[in-house]
Amino acid sequence: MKHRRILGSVLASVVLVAGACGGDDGDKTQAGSAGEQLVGLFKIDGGQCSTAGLTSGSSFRMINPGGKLGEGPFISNGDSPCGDKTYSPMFPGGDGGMRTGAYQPEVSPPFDAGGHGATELIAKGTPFFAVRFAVATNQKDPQTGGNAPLPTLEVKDGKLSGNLSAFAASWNNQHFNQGAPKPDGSLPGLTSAPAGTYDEATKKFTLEWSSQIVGGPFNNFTGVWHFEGTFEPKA
Amino acid sequence: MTTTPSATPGDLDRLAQERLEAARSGVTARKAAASAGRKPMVAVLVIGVGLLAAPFIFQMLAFDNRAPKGGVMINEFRPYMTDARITKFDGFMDLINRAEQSYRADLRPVVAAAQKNPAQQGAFASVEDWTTKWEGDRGIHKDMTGILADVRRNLDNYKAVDNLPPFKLFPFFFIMPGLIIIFLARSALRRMRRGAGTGGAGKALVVMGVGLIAAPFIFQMMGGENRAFQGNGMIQDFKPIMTEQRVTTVQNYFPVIALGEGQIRNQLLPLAKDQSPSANYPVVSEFSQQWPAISSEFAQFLGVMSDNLDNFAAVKALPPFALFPFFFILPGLLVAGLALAARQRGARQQTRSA
Repeated sequence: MKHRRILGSVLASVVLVAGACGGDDGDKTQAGSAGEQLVGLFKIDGGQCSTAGLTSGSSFRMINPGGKLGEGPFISNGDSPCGDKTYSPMFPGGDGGMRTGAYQPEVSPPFDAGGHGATELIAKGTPFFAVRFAVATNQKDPQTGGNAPLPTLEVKDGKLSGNLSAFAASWNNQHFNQGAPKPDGSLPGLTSAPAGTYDEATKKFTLEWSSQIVGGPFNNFTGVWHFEGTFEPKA
Repeated sequence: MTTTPSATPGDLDRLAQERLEAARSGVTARKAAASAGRKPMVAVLVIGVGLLAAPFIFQMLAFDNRAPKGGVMINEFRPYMTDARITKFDGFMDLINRAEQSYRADLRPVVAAAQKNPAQQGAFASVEDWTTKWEGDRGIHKDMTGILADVRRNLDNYKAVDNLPPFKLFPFFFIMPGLIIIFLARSALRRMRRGAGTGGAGKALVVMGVGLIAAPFIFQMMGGENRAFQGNGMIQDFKPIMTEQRVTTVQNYFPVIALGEGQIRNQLLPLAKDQSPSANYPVVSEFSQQWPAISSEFAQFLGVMSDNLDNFAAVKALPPFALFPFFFILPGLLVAGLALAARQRGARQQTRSA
């Protein structure tokens, strides 16, 4: 009987704590175990190029199989306006950037007649080898079919971390999960979890993660995503 | 039992003794007959167990699950293993090749001689890299057309394999006969232990043996389309293609061609137009127009190749396809032969004893 009372007390405590943590949808931030959850819109700045590489803003790069993070070799994109064509600048889409605490799923159908990715909420279509790729965050990953948790980012001591499993790219009638970790929780190959910086005062952020493609035509190629801009907390 | 009234107790004892001896010799004869027939029947039982175990020993089922993996590979290859699809890919390769030749013959002289800004200079270098890697005996064109030729050469082989019963059923073509043979052999052995012949179970085993012999011919593994041998040919031809190293090599062709196309479209064609506004490069332009479709088709094909490396490795690890008919024929011959031998030896022994 005593054990039952103790068990009951523990369960009640768990319910109370859970209620306290998840009860207010309007919270801009939520206390997490590792840091402070940032729930809202990570508005991205468009990528700016020079005759060399990217000077500021958001971009995408792709590492060849066998390459290394930060070293490459990176694939050159003939449709990049940058001098260093390994950078493909990205520009804000209809929502202005990427949301945490909510999905921004791909539209249906996900491709137009030319194979261009049709979803433009997070970012505008990015020309890549003659075809624009689109990005989205999907509950059900279109490539793996696995369920992905809501995108989350949290800050601790000015450092960003989180889970972007739901992030995916669509290009030329193909889907590529570009999340970190992957929807199954793994970090294969060069996949590295989201990391970056966040300034509480200015709400400026930089965020970078990499995701190795698993399966399909570009198996073992790795996408490197660099977003920077301003965080807009959920109202 | 009848006795004459004059029979003495001694006569009666002798008569009883004679009858007892006759009964004993009958039992001994039946036991001898049963024993003579049992050895072949035990061998049949062992063959049944062997058939039952074969799919697990070859990892067709369980462990590497090679049969289901082979089935997945056959299904995923299906859209690409048609004459129309390969002809389409050949057409793409021909267009890229003509564009490359047109670049070298028509566009290159113009852009090479022109004043170029750094972006144009970079584009020129990228396209030169593509043309260098495209041509020659070890070039992309030769390699890709070679792969397509290998695939085309195996279209009939693939069709033959695809006409076989589904791969995932293959383990059960061993398991089911194995179970039936075990059941029948045990029934026959039980009868023989009682001194009876192999009976209906023995006859059924002969039929099972004949069925096993016939199966490869019914499924045209042997004879007709010779599907096992054609499948063997396909596996042999695909061995050099379906490796991680080869697929990675082909993957790496893609950025080279794609970068060349993009640089021609975005930098070199405008540069050439600046030099000579009336000049046209129709083949190069067609290449650029078609490139999204070409890259999409090739990407899907490459994706299927890449995704099926493990499945192909599983199929490759099976015994050679050409041996599969004999995995039915030999057990079939043995089962039928041994079941017949068990029946005949038993009958012969019984006759001798009688």
